[in-house]
Amino acid sequence: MTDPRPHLARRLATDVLASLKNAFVGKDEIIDLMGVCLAGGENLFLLGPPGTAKSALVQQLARRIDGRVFDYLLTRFTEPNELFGPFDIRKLREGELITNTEGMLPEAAVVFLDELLNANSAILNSLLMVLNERVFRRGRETRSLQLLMVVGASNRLPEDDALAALFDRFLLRVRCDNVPEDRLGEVLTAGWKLDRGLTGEHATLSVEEIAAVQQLVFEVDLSPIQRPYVELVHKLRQAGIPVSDRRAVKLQRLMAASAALCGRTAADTTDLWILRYIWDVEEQREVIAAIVNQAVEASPPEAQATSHPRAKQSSGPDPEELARDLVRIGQRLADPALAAAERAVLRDQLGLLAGRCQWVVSRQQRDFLDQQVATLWTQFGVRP
Amino acid sequence: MSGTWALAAPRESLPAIARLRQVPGLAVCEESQRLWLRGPELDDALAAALKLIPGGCQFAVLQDGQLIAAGKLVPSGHLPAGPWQLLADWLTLELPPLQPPGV
Repeated sequence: MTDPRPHLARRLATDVLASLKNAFVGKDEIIDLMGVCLAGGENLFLLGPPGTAKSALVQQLARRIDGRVFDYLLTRFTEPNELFGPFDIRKLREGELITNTEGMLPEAAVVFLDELLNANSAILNSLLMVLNERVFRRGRETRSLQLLMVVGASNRLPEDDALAALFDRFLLRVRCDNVPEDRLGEVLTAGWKLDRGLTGEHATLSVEEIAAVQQLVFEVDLSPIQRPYVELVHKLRQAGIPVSDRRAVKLQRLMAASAALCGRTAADTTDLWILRYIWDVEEQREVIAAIVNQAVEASPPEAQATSHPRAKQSSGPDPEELARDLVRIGQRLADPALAAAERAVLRDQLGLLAGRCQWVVSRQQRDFLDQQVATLWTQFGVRP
Repeated sequence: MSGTWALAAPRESLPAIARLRQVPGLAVCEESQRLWLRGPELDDALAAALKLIPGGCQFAVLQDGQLIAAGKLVPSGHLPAGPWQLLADWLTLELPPLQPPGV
């Protein structure tokens, strides 16, 4: 009997994700990342303002895999009971501390935690266990969860160490913004359809089938990309992007998921696209994209032919982000206390951004950015 | 005439633009569907008044005429070449005809 799992992985891409893309306007990038995280059993962080369909995306995904969803808005006062359920009073009378988890996070297949960075110390440790090991632990009670994926959202990035630890458990990060003004009409039509239930949101895969896809991911051969992956991680670290060993190990799962969703049994260098989404702060986004795209574009044509849709960057880089990064470099250079090592890192980053500016689509914007780059080069004592 | 800022607004915003006709140095340029305004300086009072123009889109103007939309860092488009006219000259006022009281 043939293994049904590769077919299930394809159906996840063609039925579930494609149907979600039809239902939401301008959210393809997030949906693709949700698909990879779902297949890889990892967590995704959405950064963006309220009202940008973050929760709706998760709800609609859960409906398409017939999975129970737990959606909760965290506040600074959220207690463990609110996420995991109250203690079972009947059991308590018998002297047992058992949590009644009915309808709560431990029973969900997909979890959405809005305002994630409001998490307080009362829930942090339990949450870290859930995110890391898919285990619910409270007192002496320990339970394995059937959780497929956690999506966290916030409109800010963490500022203290405790929250940085929580943020670190979200392997991929992506921005979720309002769609461009010229697509607002499409948003209104799509939203109206969604409200009327006309988007064909019936389940096409089951939670068990997604779990089978997650098992298939472990069977993807990663050996073809081990060397280029190691080189890429070194390059990122040299450019001042921290990639811990733990994250480097875990990212392999998502590269394998990318390959599985494309129907491949072995990963190739196009699957390195995943690393575009490992930024900790927004200033890193363009620098990371520049380094990762170099590695992806060096893939042979036969690999590009079967690559994940996200591996191909059809549009050029965002000129506004490039400009923001250039302003940041200029501001850092103006600091008289700037250490030589950081200066060297900034110089490397400028080199990467300069290369990326060449891909800006608009000639006017490209010329403007080139001028900014040239000004910064002179501050490094380099004649452009 | 050089300017540090510009604003594009649909023609329908003319009544709101007309309120600015006494601002010194304010110039206007007609395009097919919209009107452009520009001026030498932008103080707080004028900035607040510009925000009240319906559909108005404000830009910073670089020395070579490139436009940077408010809140952006990279230019997109150029200031129209003209002709530019002072708003006070372009906007002619007509007094309502005098009518005897009680008519």
